[in-house]
Amino acid sequence: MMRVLISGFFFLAVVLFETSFLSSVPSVLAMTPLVFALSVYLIQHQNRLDGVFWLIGYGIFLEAFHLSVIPLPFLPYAFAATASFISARQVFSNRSLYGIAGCALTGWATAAFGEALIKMGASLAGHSVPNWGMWLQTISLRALLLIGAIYIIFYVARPFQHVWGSRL
Amino acid sequence: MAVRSRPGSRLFFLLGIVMIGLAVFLGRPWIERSLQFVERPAVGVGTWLYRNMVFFKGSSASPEEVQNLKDQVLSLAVDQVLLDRLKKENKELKTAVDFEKRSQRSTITASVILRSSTVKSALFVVDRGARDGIHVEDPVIVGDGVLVGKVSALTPTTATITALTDPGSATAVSILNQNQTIGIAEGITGNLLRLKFIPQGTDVAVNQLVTTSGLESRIPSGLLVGLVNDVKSEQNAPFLEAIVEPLIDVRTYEIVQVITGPSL
Repeated sequence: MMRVLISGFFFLAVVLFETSFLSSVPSVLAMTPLVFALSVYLIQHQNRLDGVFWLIGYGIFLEAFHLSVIPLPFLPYAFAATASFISARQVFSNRSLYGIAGCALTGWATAAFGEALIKMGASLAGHSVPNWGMWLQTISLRALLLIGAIYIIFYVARPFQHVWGSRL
Repeated sequence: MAVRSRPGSRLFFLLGIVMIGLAVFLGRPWIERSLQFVERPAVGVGTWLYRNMVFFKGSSASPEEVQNLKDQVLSLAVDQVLLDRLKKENKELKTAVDFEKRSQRSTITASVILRSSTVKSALFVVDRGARDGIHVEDPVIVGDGVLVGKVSALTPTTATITALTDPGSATAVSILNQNQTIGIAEGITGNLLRLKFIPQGTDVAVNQLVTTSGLESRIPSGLLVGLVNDVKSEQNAPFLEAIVEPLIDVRTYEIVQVITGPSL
């Protein structure tokens, strides 16, 4: 129970850091998917299930505050969590930087695919007309930022391996 | 490689998640209010960085010069809109009481507590919601009546605002020219607005002011939207297209005002 509470506390801290502070800073830095990067790091490199719940929880957070342009934002994040979890166990089982990056990109591509399906559905239902060019540009830019964030997390978190690896 | 978990601990983990979910569901307004103590200063620091880190934006002018020029443009624009509104009032022989009613709008001041991470879809959340009397589609302004967005979703304690420049946003506006051309301004890439279907021959020119037309039930007329930045005209096309640049960047503000009640 304590582990869940601590994980929940860190999740909330990272989500608030991303949506309150990071999203207010200048330039493309505001688009950094920090929660996604940390979640994949937990799933792949630290072998922890928390990352799956972090990703799904982030989707629910976006849904609760209507902070997403697509309806049902938790669905793409749930797809991404599943894809990251499976790819971490079956495909990118090597705990190197390349392994995390591969796992992150697999999750990101799955989320993007889910988002595209929802956008298409919304478009067919007459809710909105998607601007695919702009969407693709944003998704690609954020994928680059995701890799950048993972690179930083990989090296910054190294000295704290024992903390992550403990049964907190 | 197996994920470190035992059946017993997994059950406790899931139970913990369910209990936290239940607590969040039942105590949501209280939790939202509590989180705002962290969110407000975080947004404040981020916004300060946004305003002051000019090197990130690639501007060659000094921050003071840019700010002074922006203030001047805003001040002149506000003056012009005010003058135009007064002229119109006089022309139509409206009574002083009517004028007072027009200017006495009920507003709610709110702080920005969350922003979407995707810059191009400009959504942000403020710390006032349905309990404070805010409704969906209420206009959101900053400064002296500069429209920045509309309320798109509500919770009891928060409101999500879609900025005018969001690609999904559309606002009824009029251009302050001879004909008071009206139209719908849609958000487009690059923090700009596009005004389509302006009939050929209309006197639309660069630097003309664009304000709200008052044709939306909850949005009063005369709120500043921006300046015409470019007018596109194609031969044989029946319509013109105007690109409108907002007067302010909503990301530089952490306090906004929501106008409540129907348009007067």
